[in-house]
Amino acid sequence: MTGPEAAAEEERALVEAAQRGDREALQRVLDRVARPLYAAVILPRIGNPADAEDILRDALLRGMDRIDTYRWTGAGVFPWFRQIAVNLVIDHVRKRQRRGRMEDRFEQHVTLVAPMHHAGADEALIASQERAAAGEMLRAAMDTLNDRYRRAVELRLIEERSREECAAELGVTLGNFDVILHRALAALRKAYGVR
Amino acid sequence: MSDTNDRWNPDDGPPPTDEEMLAASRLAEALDKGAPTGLDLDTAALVSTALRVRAVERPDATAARAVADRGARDALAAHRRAWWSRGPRLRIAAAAVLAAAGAGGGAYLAARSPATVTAAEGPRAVFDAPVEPGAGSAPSTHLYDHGLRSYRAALLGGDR
Repeated sequence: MTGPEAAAEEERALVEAAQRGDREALQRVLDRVARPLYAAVILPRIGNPADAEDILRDALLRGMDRIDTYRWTGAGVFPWFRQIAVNLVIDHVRKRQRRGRMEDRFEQHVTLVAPMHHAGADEALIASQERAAAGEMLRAAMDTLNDRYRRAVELRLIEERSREECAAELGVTLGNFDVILHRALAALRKAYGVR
Repeated sequence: MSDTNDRWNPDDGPPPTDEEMLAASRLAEALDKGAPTGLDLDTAALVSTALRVRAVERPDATAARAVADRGARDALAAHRRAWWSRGPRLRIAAAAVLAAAGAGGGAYLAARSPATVTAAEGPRAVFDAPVEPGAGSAPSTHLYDHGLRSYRAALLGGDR
């Protein structure tokens, strides 16, 4: 049996033990999925760490409650937990958004990315693949902004420069930089929701 | 319109209104605070977008690991609490049913008489039934028996 096959078999045995009520196995399943779920699936779609933590906890609880309904697939258990988390993300956004405003687009956005890893993949691989997909979506959204708006987002949020430095870099007053960033984020929000 | 707009670059779009500058200032303040609460809906939505950008582009692996581990621990503890709270309730209910069945069966056999009422007749029948010699305590026993049957029927469904 090759490495990936052995890892997949190991994961399958772990999940089946958890389904039989083995609490240690259940804990190991959670340990395996919690980090990539939070850092690479929930947080990049929610933004607010406190809300993301609540959603993670709810997703894990729901997963544990329904673990006996899970049926093994070649992709392992992570995509199943991921789908639970994505559904909770959608519920959360529906509650927070103004009625009928952008839920459909957001739903498209959060559900479009299919998991790419195989059963038995370790959490680092799962997280890096999920993060790469999230990065690709963000870059595609950033590409829709005009150059100065994109630069404002890069300077302030990605390079984490001070407002004063950002304003100087763009050659505008502090107040006008705030307006540019405000417009840039409004445009990004629309574009980020579509993909 | 603010005097800062005198230096507005037309490449950045139409000059902002005072209202827009105010909203931009609110957003700048909120972003400085990290993940503030109590914001208006529009500002909160933009802060959320900014935080999503940061989460993707500048992930804090150490913080994320700590939060995820705490989340897993809390979820497991909550699941365990829920399981225990369900467990005793089921065990107590089962014990109550068994005790009721034993006590009720014994009482029923001991007090069995022609005046025994059925669940369909109701407690009224006890008072209407003739008192027979030697059956002085029968009505109260029948009342108890009827109550027990109703309880079991409510708990388990059907007339048991």
